[in-house]
Amino acid sequence: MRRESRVERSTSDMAGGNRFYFPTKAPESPAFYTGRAAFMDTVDTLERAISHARRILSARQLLPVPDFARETFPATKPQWKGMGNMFNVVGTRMRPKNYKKITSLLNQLAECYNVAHVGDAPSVARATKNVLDMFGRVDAPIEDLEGQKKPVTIDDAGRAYARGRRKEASARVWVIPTKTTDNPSVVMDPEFFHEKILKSYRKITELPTTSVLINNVPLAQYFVNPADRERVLRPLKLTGLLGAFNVFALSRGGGTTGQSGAVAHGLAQALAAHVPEADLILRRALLIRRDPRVVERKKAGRAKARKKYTWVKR
Amino acid sequence: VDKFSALGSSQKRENTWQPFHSLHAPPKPSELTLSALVAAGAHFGHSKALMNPHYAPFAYGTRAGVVLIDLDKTLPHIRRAANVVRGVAARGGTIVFIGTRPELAPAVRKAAHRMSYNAYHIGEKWKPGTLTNKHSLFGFDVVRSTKIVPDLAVFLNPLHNMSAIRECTLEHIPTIGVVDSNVDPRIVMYPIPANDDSIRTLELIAGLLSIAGRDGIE
Repeated sequence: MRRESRVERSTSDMAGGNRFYFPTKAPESPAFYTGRAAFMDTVDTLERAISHARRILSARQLLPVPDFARETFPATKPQWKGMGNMFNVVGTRMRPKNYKKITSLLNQLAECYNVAHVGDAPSVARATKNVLDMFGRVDAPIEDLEGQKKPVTIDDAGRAYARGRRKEASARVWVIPTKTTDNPSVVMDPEFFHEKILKSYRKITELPTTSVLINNVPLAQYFVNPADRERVLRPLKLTGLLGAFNVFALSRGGGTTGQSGAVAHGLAQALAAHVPEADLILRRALLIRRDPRVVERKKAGRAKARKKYTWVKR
Repeated sequence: VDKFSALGSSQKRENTWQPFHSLHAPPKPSELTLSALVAAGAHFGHSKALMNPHYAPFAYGTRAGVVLIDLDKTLPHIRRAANVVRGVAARGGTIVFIGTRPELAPAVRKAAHRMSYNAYHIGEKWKPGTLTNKHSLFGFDVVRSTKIVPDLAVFLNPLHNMSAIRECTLEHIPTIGVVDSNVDPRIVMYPIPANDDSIRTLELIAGLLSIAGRDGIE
């Protein structure tokens, strides 16, 4: 059935023309048949911008950059939009590989911008800045933490929050100083505690005490096994901070050993945030490290991970 | 740096061939010479043992176990292909340049951009089913509103795109392809016997055909 449409007629009469009777128009993007037209067009735009900028800067003798000029460039790496926000600029969702391709091109263009800015080529600087601003991240963090672990921070109420994991268990641990002193670092000094003990010789209740709550249950009640209790308190004992901090943890998953290990892991990280001198001690004791030991998988041809079936001669 | 003009040389950067010319300043099809093809290395085929028997008409001979392609046949075949491209473009047809090796991606992209519209490029893998399974790949809305089946396909490496050539034949699309000595020249409609291992040759041919297409549009 022939359809009379508002759209202009297809101009192709060649073999290989339309099978349908509907008039249609040719695809917009030259990269239509790659299946990733929006991404390829963005890559093409950026590559052309880079080659154009480099050509002008080379003609102005600003490229290649001499070493003394390179030192004046900003030290921080530029921050780009995340994969989610980049979708709005590019037009399609991207795989990490494609996202990295775009960010590497943007870094090259940012280098051109730096050269143009420092070398006084205002037209190139302006043009590249316009392109870069489309992709730049608005809420950039102050420090460049790419590839590094996010540091544990202490909030306004004095709590340090850290996550710990061991085997299949995970724990969320909040650590807050007890009301002994304002400066937790002083607590590491043995003289401090001796003085405190001498002064409160008759008032045992004045001694600073660590209270540990796990899933809102006291330590002694939650972990019946003494080994688990010792494991939780080990970070405090090693650093001599037993009595200086209170611990509140929420743990899930795993069993008793896993949960106690997870709480200890989170506790160690939070302690390191409160008392920087404790960080080295805890690192040497391997308490900051996430224990990588997990249950080994069962293998084909064996009863368990290592247990083999009974050997038969024939 | 001009060292030799004082010694009587008239060759300068402006009037000599530079490496970027193969991509950015190709000759017109009417200005193509045999020496340009030889300089690009278009006459080198593959090993004699791997020669396809149907390639015999295009082979000049062998030397050191390598087939040499007869450039006296290459030149008219290029001109014929250029006429096809020009004719298709002049009648408003869409042309796809296909070069699926990473080195060829800039060449096909440049060729597609040289023609201001109705030209497309595929620098990476041809998606199987682009023409025969378009509803799955592009969706019903796109298929209804866009002309997906092109009017001409230009292959820079047909040997690695046999599925694409098969789809083109199923959809009755004329094909142009650069065929080397290990390829059966009958797989494409308009073969161009030339070296498909040489990037310079393929950039030259893609540039020539895109210039012809651009002339057809004007």
